[in-house]
Amino acid sequence: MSKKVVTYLTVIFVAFALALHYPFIAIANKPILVYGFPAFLIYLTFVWVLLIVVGFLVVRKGTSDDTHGY
Amino acid sequence: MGIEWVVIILSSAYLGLLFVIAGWAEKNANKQWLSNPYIYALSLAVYCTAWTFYGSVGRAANQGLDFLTTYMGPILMAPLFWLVLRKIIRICKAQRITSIADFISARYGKSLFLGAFATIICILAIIPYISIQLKAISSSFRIFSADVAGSKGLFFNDSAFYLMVILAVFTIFFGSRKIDASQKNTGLITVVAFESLFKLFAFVVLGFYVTYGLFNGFSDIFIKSSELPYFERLITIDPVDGYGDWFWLNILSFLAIILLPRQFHVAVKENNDENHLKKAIWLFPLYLFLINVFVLPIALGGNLLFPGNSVDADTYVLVMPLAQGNTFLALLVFLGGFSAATSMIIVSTSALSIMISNNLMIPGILRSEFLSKKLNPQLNKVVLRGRQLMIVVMLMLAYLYYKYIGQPFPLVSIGLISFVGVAQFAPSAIGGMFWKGGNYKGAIASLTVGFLVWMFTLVLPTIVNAKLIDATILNEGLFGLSWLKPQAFLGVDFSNNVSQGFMWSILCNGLAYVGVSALTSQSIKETNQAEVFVDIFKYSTVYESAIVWKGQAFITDIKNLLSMFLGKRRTDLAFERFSDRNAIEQGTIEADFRVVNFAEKLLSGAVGSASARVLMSSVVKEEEIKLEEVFNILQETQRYITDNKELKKKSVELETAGVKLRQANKELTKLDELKDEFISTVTHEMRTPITSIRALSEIINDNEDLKTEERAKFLDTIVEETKRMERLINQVLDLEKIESGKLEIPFSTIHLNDVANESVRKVKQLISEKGIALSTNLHGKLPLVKGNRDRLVQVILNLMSNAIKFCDNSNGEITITTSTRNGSVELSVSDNGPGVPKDSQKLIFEAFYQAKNQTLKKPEGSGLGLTICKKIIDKHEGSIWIENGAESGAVVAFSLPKLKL
Repeated sequence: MSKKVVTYLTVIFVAFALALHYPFIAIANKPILVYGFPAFLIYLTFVWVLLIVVGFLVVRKGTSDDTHGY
Repeated sequence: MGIEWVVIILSSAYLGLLFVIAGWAEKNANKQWLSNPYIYALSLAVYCTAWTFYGSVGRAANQGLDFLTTYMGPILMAPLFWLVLRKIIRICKAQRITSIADFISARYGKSLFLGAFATIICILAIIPYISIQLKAISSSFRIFSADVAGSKGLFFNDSAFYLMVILAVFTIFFGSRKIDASQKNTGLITVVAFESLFKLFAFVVLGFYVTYGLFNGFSDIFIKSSELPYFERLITIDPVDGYGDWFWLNILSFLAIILLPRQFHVAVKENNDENHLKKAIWLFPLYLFLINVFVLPIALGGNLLFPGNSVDADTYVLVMPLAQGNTFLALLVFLGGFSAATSMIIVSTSALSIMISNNLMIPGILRSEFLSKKLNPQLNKVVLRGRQLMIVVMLMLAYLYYKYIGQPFPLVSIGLISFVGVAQFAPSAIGGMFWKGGNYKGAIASLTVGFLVWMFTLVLPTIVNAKLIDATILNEGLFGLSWLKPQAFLGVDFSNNVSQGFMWSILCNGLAYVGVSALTSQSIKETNQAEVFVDIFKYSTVYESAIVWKGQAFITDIKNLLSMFLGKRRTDLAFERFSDRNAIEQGTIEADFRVVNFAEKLLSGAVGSASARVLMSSVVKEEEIKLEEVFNILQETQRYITDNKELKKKSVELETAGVKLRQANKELTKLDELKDEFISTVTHEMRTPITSIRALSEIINDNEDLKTEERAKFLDTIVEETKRMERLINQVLDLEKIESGKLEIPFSTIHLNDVANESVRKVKQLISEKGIALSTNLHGKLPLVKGNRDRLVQVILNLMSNAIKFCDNSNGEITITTSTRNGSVELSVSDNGPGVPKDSQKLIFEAFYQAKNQTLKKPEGSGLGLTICKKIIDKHEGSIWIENGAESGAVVAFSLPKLKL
């Protein structure tokens, strides 16, 4: 994978590390149910799934770059 | 038959299945599809142990969301796999490092002491961890039957004991088959991947059963459990202490996913292909997501079904289906937990056995003169059997710990304490991989400080809790000093012991590493290793040249040493390949540094890098190396790499140059042929007039009585022929001058319409004599061009004379047109003659084209006119072409670039 993709992955790490810690988690850390789901759980699920999807997309880009010989 | 026997038979069948899978995978080990990224990503899930399976639900039921901290770290590490894990993998491949203890020892100059120290920390941290897996299995077993297994009974009554024996056999069979520990154990990894799938399946099935069978979906559980008194605590993080704990525990698992011996084992040692990491970057977080989705619903569901702590929350996953009479599901869940525990035990013990053999056992044998003499002839067997013995010893210790010490602790606390233990490697291992300045003394300080703080803040309280020592130290602090209380170190009291213990240990540890490294200096061997570790991507292809070694060694000695561990056949084969690759001649007696480094690397795979160093130095005579030499050689290696790259580039360039050269040569040959042809054509063209001049002159000479009229007619012809020759010679000279560049064509700014008018004036007389109608169609606002007026007149005249020659005999028409197109100025001369066949249109500009082309009626002219025109127009950077008119006739046109103002 190219240097650019490695940079993307590092940025993803920083962004998600921030999203999963104080003060950002404090936004959702409320004892309330939204549509029957705890707000904090919705937030964590969203971030977690996003991490998987973004990781998948970036790696796919990196892999297709490799096969095209960039 | 009681349910307990069903459980026993099922677990035995399950273990049998593992043997079958492992055996089958070993047999197919060389098949490509068994080394795929999915198996790799699934093998990473050995991270999820029985602790995940039973403990997560227990922790969620009692403490809420903080069970997630164990998974937040790993999913955050996943995007960094390519940056961090890939580097570790590359280093370990280059140096044949097989465990985390070896890794640390190798980085700091292949130190025996560091390797042993790290191994001891691992043993202390991991044995209790293995024991809680045994505990999880045996307590889950007890849920099915209170009578059969009791941990208080004798060992032959205890299911955990038999399990331990079977797992020992399995691990010996599939985890330590080969003397070279850096070789892959496909069977083991396939089994681990299978178990990962199985435990996920079992847990997800249970999750569906609880969420949709016992309740009406997720929100039903959440809404119902909002009645529970402590519900708010379970779905949020405590805003006072929670964020700090959350942060530190996330960092803890972030480090554990790389540093735990079993993770290192599957992720690094058993890695076949760095590219497998790409899939793991998203597959591993996905796995963790799936296995965690149902944890909170199951925990809350358990709290709803068994209110008031009537059931231990660690056992909810089994008790819930059993209470509903769903024995089948309970058995599936039991097997899921069983698979989680067994995979952890198998991988951890094989990792530990290699570590102990490399860093404690072999150095011990080498140190003891008695042992090394006695065991010398069969050292390879000693290494392999020793490793297998260690597997049994480790399992034994874990069993004893479980049976006599570990009973009072919950699953989670021991697991986390183990995490903190191995996290102490972070500064020296991960720091050393990115910072060249970290040194041996820094690493020793780091591990010592980290180890002591860990023991003091986390291990000591558990020993006190187990009532092995008096509790005064907990309450009053060490030596009665209140700021030295283990659970309130330096007087800071955290709500969570683990996060405070981790925080203090890792901070003190990191500080010691950086501080001591900065204040002390590196040894030369260390500097070399630091360089290779940190810049591994520069050196991995030329590893043997990147390690500086000076001294005298003989290939036979080295080979003999290697055959002791690897066997003669493998040693010979490895040497043969290495010699081939490095162009080392057969029969060389003395070994150079590359051979020594290569042999040491091979040996590292079998006995670890520190022991390999000791063994190598026993068979070679080494000289002291100076620091400058290390740097010089490293620089040379780097230059070699860049030179190599440069060389590759140059050879590609050379190749293209060669192709061009060949092409030029071809063209040259063709030109040469053309020149010959040209000369023969010119001489042929000259011979015709000369022949006729000679013939006519002879007639005149021989016949004095020739009539005056006839004589005059002959003389006229002679004059005409001479003129024709003169013209031909002039044109040949012209062409030669233009081609050789001798002819200077001075440019000035001109108007093409003027040039056209001038040309028309010159031929007007001739045209009207021939009765040809001439018309001009000149563009009113024609831009200026740069050119040579006389030469352009020559071109236009030539085109017009051609038009005159070819146009219709009776109704000849010639038109001269000027126009502009795409930034250039065009002039065309069209006639109403027969036109030019399409396939001749390009060739017509070649010299003597019409002379060669006998099918055309041969008109007067040298055959060089259009060739000269083309040369002149080329000099003007314009182009000339011929096409057929819309109705009939030919259009010869040229274009010149517009003058740029």
